[in-house]
Amino acid sequence: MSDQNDKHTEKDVDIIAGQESDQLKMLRSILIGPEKDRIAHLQKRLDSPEIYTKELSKVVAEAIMLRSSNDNKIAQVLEPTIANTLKASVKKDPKALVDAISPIMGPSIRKAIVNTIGGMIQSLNQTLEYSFSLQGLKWRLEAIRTKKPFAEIVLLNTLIYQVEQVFLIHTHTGLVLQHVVAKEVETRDADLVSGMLTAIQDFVKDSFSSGKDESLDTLRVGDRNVLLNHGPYALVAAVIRGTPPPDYTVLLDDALDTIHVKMGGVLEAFDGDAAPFETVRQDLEYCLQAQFANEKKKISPTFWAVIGVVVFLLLSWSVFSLQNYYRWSGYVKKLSNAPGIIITENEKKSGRHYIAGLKDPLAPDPDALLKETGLKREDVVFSWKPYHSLHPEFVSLRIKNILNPPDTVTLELENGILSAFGSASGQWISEATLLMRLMPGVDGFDFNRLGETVPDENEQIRHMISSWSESARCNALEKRIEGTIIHFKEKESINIPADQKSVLHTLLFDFEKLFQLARLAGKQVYVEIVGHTDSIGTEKINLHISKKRAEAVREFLAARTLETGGSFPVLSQPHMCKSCHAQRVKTIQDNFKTVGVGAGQPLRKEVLEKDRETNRCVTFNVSITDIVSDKDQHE
Amino acid sequence: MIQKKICMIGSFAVGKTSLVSRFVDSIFSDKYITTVGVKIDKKTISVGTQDMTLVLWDLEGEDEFQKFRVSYLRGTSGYLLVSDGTRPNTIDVALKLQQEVETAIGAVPFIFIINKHDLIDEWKINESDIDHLRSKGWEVIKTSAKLGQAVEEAFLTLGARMLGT
Repeated sequence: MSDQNDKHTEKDVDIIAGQESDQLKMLRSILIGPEKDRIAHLQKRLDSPEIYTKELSKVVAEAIMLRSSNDNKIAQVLEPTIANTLKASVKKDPKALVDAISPIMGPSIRKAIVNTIGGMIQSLNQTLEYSFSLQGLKWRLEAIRTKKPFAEIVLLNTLIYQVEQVFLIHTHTGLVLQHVVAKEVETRDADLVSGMLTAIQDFVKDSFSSGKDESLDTLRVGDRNVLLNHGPYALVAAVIRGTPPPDYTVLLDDALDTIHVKMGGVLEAFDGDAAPFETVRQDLEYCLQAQFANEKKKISPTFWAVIGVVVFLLLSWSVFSLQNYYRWSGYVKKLSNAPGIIITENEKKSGRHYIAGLKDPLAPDPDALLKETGLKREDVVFSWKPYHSLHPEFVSLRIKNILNPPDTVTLELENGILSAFGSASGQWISEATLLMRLMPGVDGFDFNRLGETVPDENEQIRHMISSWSESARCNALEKRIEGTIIHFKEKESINIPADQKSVLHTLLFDFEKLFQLARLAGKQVYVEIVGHTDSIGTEKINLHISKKRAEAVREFLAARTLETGGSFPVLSQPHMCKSCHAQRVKTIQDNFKTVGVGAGQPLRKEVLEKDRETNRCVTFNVSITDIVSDKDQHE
Repeated sequence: MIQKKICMIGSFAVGKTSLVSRFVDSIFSDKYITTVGVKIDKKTISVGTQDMTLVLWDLEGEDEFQKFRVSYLRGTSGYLLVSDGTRPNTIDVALKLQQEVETAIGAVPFIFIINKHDLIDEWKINESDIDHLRSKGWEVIKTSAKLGQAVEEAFLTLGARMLGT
């Protein structure tokens, strides 16, 4: 029984245990069932490459970005893989890579090349052509001046071109994608031209090219060039009249590259619809460049007429001026050659000829000579100062005038020596001997062959008659002396200027004649030497200066008279002892009185400095009176 | 407007140039065909509502001395395969050319043209020959360049084929 009970009990226990196990399972499934399913799902995702890859693809980009921002590990890891991939790709199909990078690399490579060869000579022919011409020389100077290569200067000066039209052509089909034309350029059907251009390229390539990548780049027809720049899917063809600049092809390449970058996909998939390429029209229009030489402006007939008139007037004026010049030169030459005229100044002022110099009273009249030339008198201003010329002809004339030789006397002047022949009165011989000592131009005289005659009554009568004429000549001399002015340029100066001494010499000669003639006419001469000053300064000082100036002139005249042994004014008193020097000086002082008037008697009203200069001077007053004999004086 | 490059292909003197000369805009002389081997013409057609510019490459005729330049076929969207009804060998040449074209540029739409229909009495081919061509699934059109017969139709048909309609 107990065994049975025990068995029963064990069975029950087992049943109970089984019941508990189910319950636990149920409980477990209730408690951890969802987690278990989730774990199983996760396990499945991890075990399945498809799901895992799909999941990873969602975050791989972000993961790379995150890691790349932290360090350079990804680049290092991927570098060999990418390098190998590129190598394999290039090995398999290099064109694909070239097509991909050419839009990017093209411009950089071209710019580098252009920069490198930018300074090189572009056209040897042009250089040679212009090297030896005048134009070439000019450009060479310009090159030196601007420090640019000669070839560049040649190019700059000769470059004239116009891009007339630009085609964008699909390489594969030869169909035109876009076509732009410059203004006022006639064109033919772009579709047909594009097609034919493509055909010709194919023809040339088939016929002459040896390489796959070779292509037709340039066509030249007359003065037109067609530049063809090839891209992976399209080419640009520029029709250019003239010679384009060397970097124009770079511009075309840039445009082509831009178009490939913009329209790469459209170009690759082109199926005949060119509408999308309207967007690249601007890029092509930019290629329509032009550079024109400055056109020579057409000159109007009026301009030519004006030029003609101006040239005619200039020619007429030149002829007239030349004629005048030769007339004037001839006149001046004539004056210079004339005896008794010395020209010291000859110039043109304000359209008038100004001529100054020294002139002997016996010289030919310049006005009369002027009339012969045909020049107008009003166009010429003369400024002559008197002087005595030593021309033998004039000396002879003066001797005759002064000595007034009787008909029985013959005079001859040779080499400065005056010889007298024939016979004359003792008085005439005596006077002539004295006069000849002071005669300028006479270095010596020989009267030894002149016989002395006794004056008869008739001769005395003739002498009386002639004295009348001598009196008249005295008056003429008196006027001339009184008209003489000795200028003192410097203010307050009492020294006689050098140029005034020649005037005094002439004056001395006039005094000599005056005293001689006066004596012959039975007259006595008194001279008042009057000194003047300008109005500047006090009256006392001016009076002093003016007196001193007058005395300076008298001293000069006296000294010259005594030096030369002249008889003047002693001759007026022939009985006086000649050797008595003191007596002569006293006589000079008696006959020549000095007076200073300061600014009291100005020659000219003082307005300008020039007027003051004129007033700084010495003048002369001459009085001629009858001789009063000692006897009369006593009476 | 859509543009399509098409070629005129066929034996020597089958009338390719005559077929296009009366119906196209042309600026180039026929001498280009013998010098460069091709002349370009243009024809504008309307297929349904779609205007289309056909740029025609009139290729030099094939004969025993002269072969056309395959490079001219590049980019062709379709072609007119032209033969002469009075010369059966031109059909054979056309068949050979069709093979060459397909080898060079792949299968593109084309129309088989038997020209000189105005000389129908002198034709050396019969309807069964034509049916044989049509049995290949090809479009065969009998034209007369001289009379202008079916020429327009040939271009329109090719245009439609190229547009896939």
